[in-house]
Amino acid sequence: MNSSNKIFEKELLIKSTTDNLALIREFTKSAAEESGFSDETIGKIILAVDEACTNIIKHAYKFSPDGNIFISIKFEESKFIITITDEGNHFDPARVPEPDLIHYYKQKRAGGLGVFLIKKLMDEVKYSTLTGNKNQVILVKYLS
Amino acid sequence: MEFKLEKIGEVAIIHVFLNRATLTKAILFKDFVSEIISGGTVKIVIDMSICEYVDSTFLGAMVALLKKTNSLNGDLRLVYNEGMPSLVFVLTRMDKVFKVFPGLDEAVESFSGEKPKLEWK
Repeated sequence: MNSSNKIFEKELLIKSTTDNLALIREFTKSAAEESGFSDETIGKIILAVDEACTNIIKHAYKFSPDGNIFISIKFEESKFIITITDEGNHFDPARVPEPDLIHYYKQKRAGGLGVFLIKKLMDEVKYSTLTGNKNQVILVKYLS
Repeated sequence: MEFKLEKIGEVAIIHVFLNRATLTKAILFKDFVSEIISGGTVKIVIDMSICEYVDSTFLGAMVALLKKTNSLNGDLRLVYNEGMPSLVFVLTRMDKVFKVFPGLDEAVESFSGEKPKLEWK
């Protein structure tokens, strides 16, 4: 079977500790490899997921290790979809500017580099708030 | 030990002994360097030559420290492996903000002579 015709879905539920970032990276890497992405693109996907989960640990859960992070990865029709859901404080990406480092240096406020990177690395990024005070970010990468 | 301080004249070299410079060490790093700056040393070289990965949080800490040294007429300069730059370095165009050097000697020597000045490329 051609890798672009594969269909699969994987899920991971973990606690919001930085120790789990390695597990998240491994989970993401395994799924991206199975989907047939190049090593370079796999590196970009892993970095995007790592940054998204780091944001959840830092901003949504304020470093509390007891929060839940639910990650679902789905691959179908050459579309690699990572859905990350948390139950922490609401995060409004609209308030985050899109700096490169020069603008980041010049601005007075800190933060926002992670969101900037995620948008650079992925083809589609969508943040939303779900019922039950859940936050969700969907990251998409197309297998070209 | 993740960080080690070495002084050469007016220049402080901070060796970063991390393969992954990330969120988990960013606050510790910022506190470590801030204390050196508070002690009056504003010419700083960060030796990241063994770092294979830098995340946005650690990079953000370095930018905050760069701003601090610049506000005190100093500078914070980097040594890292340009042959294998972290993806974060590339995507954020880090070399446009920090002065980057391939080796420690070049980085330390760059502070001799005229006062350091940040130049936008």
